[in-house]
Amino acid sequence: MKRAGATLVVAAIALPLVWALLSSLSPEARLARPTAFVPGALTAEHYRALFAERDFWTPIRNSLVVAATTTALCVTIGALAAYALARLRFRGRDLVLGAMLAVGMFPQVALVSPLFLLLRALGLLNTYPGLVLPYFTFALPVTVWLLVSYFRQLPPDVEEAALVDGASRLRVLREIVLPMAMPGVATSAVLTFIYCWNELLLALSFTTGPERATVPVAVALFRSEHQVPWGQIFAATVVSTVPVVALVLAFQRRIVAGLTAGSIR
Amino acid sequence: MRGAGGGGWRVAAAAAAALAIGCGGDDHAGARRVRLRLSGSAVGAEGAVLATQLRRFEALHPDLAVEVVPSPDAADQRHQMYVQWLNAGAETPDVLQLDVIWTAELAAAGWILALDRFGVDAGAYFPAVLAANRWQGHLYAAPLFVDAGMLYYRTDLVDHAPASLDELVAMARQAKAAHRIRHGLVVQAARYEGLVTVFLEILTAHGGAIADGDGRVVVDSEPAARALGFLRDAVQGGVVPTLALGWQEEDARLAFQNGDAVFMRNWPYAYPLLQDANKSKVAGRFAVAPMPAAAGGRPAAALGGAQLAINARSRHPDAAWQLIAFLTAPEQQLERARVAGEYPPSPALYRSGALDRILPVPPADALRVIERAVPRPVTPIYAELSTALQIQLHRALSGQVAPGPALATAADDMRRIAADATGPAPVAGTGERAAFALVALAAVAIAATRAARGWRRRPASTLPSEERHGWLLVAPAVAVVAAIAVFPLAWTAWESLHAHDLRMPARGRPFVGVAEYAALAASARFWAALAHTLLFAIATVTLELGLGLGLALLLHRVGRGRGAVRALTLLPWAIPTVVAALIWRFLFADTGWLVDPIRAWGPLILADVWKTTPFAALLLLAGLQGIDETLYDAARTDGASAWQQLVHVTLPLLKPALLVVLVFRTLDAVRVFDLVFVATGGGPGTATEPISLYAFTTLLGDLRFGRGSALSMVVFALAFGLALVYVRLLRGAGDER
Repeated sequence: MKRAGATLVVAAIALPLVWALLSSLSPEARLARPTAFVPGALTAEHYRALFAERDFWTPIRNSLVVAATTTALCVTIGALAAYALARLRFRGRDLVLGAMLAVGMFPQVALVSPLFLLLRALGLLNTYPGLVLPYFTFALPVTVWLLVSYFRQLPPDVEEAALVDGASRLRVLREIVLPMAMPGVATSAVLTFIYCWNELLLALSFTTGPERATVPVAVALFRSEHQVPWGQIFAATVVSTVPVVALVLAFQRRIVAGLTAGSIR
Repeated sequence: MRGAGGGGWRVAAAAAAALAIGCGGDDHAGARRVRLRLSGSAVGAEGAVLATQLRRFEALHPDLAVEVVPSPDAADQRHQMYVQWLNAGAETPDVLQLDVIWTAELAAAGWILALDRFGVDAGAYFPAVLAANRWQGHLYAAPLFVDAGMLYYRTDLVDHAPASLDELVAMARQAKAAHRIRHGLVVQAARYEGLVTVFLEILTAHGGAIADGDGRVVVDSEPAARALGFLRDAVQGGVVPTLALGWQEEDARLAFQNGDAVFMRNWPYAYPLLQDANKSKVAGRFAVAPMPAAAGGRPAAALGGAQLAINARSRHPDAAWQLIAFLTAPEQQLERARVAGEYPPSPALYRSGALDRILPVPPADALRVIERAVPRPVTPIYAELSTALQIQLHRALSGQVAPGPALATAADDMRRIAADATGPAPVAGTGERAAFALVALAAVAIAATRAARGWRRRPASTLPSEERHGWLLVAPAVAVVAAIAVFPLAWTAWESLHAHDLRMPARGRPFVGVAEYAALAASARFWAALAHTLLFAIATVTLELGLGLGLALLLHRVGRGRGAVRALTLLPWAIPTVVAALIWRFLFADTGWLVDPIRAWGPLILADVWKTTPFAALLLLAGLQGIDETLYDAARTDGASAWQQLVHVTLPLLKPALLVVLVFRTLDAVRVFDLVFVATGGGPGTATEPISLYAFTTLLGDLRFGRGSALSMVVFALAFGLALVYVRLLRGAGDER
């Protein structure tokens, strides 16, 4: 009973993914009948076409640059803020925490019109900074919240001892707290990267051409070009899923811990 | 835009941006050749011809180099991209390939150059094509090729072309049954511009029109209702497949090419592709004819085609014109006709005999069809008018509303759009402005007092150094969040009180008070979008909570292999929503569900549940693991059944975790965008359009920033209101413990 239930759940979760993978490897003729599930002859043709006939490296590069830059900046700024919010007592702390939470809940579409006008005025539409800046709106609050909960779990003894010994606050942060917090920092970096990698709405709004389109934009606009090349679409979905799957497999325990810590409090 | 900051700051930032993207430079930095950029079709035979011709052009003009900028092949998407480029003030592409219906819009916005000074020979082109490229007496684009809708028919299944629409249906039905062919007639009936061209042909065939000679909307006429009724009956009667409600040109072509259809309505480009015996099953077994008429109308083809225009900001307008003159010359026109099946825009070529062996139909017949082809209304707001019409056509064809009422709604909407665009912009009086200033002040005051309360909640024993360090450390994060989230949100609110239309820069940005909100409140599409959003949220959150709880209980009991199962459950959560939407879209592609107004929700809800239930389960699992096992031992000692344990021990203790999942999932669900954008595009009609998608389309499709901002504020209010309620609930849950 338990085993049957578990099998069913695993199947329900995995089948669409397996099926997408198989479709990406099936000749175009067989894709015309989407119900055909049985694998037949496999082909790498769609993957070849994806990179040779259609420049899929560009969206991958764009996504990597944007997600990595956003993550690096957010984690840096976010770690400083989170440490202060978790450890230091200062006026307005609750206010800042609350504001971060509220901004994290903003619907992105509510920021599209002003950010579009702003980026246009600055000449930043269709540039990397023009994506990284808007991405802060959702990435920074998430980072701050995850790290605040992580910092609070760390034992304060060592820091306090160092402070008593006369070390400055910033030195304590740099030499004691950050090394101890590395696992938490890594988790929030992984989560931020995944959120950025998957983002569609802002990328769709602030890129105006294929030269800066990110992977989700390229995949979403793929479909109505020419003749619905399902084979290539599935090759693209598999390629765009690989980085996040790799991250999930490598960090799964931490991701779950991070997600629950960040939300349960 | 006003108030976007000091000038110096703006210049500095722009300079930084130019450095950051490393653009500019290659035109003047030492390179002797002028590099032109052209945006056009880069795929298939069309792309191949273009590439050959550009090489010839470069050989003739060694000082010029031409680079093709790839742009989406789907017309609607290319239009949106052009508007974004031009509206952003981009200097390239220098030359743009336009659809016939865009010229007026881009010309009226001042984004493309008038070509009068280059001396275009007006006598060389079809008058209707030139008329579509004029705006206020000036020519803005040079015709590249013309398109006219045609009827393809299988010569091995029927022995002649139908003489009337009724005969077409009868023949399709008969041949379909006799030869066991899947489809009678295939057309382009997805919710996009192609649907309007198909309808325009049927409409003219019944004696109707979209607009009269003075540009007044007349699409709610009796012949129009009959025309739409004809199309609807063809779909409901099984002559046109229901799946065609999701089809564009290539979908129809593939069906016909695979031998699955007796008739097809399509553009001339399909002909050479269908004759390619390597890929086509119908090579040599089909012919083309003009679309037939119905009683009371005349046979008609929709006029389409491509033209070339010059970006008004291009730094090389004269070189750009040289390129256009070359590409539109007769020699290149003939080559394009021969290789890509694209019809020349010059009538003289049809009479010269040069096209005799090139076109699939006798040039004289083609000439007659094109000369009688029906143009679409020439107006700067065509795109928005067309969208309003597409929505109602699609609603009627998918059985959501009868043809008459659908067209009445379309006509109303189109008249309102036209009035918005041409009428004097409403400007609110000073009294109204003062009222808004008061409201804004009140809001700021309330926010300030709340903030002050948070401020005063001073923690015990604050050290001055902690105070300083604390603010030093949070300052960057606070500055960033203020600059890119809080300030923009206030800007959105302000923007929503203005009739700001980016397509009409000359109109400025008049203050209109709550007029945009009032317009929304009077719009059925808005209320439907709101209802869809709530429906989607309720359905998905209920399912995800229920199934997530079940899954969490299951995972909690599974001892072995939990790590593997956890990794697996994380996968749907981690993959891009776009990918999940595509997978489910494809799974349902052949079922017809995606074009059914009710059943389309199936794939949407399933995809969301599939993607986020595992995530909900993991959060709940963490809650379960925090429950003290001895409580269950005690319950068992008291003789509680498994069900009683669940209801009296697990659920109460799990309440905080359940609430958290509820909060996160609802807030995500009310701003749903990616999933619908990819899986159904909000269709059929607007049957699955959530409010975020409506806002996005209004902002970046129609460029109506005032209205779009008002819609965005509604999404924000919805999310914020829910968040407030939930915060109360969470506090309550916390107190109970």
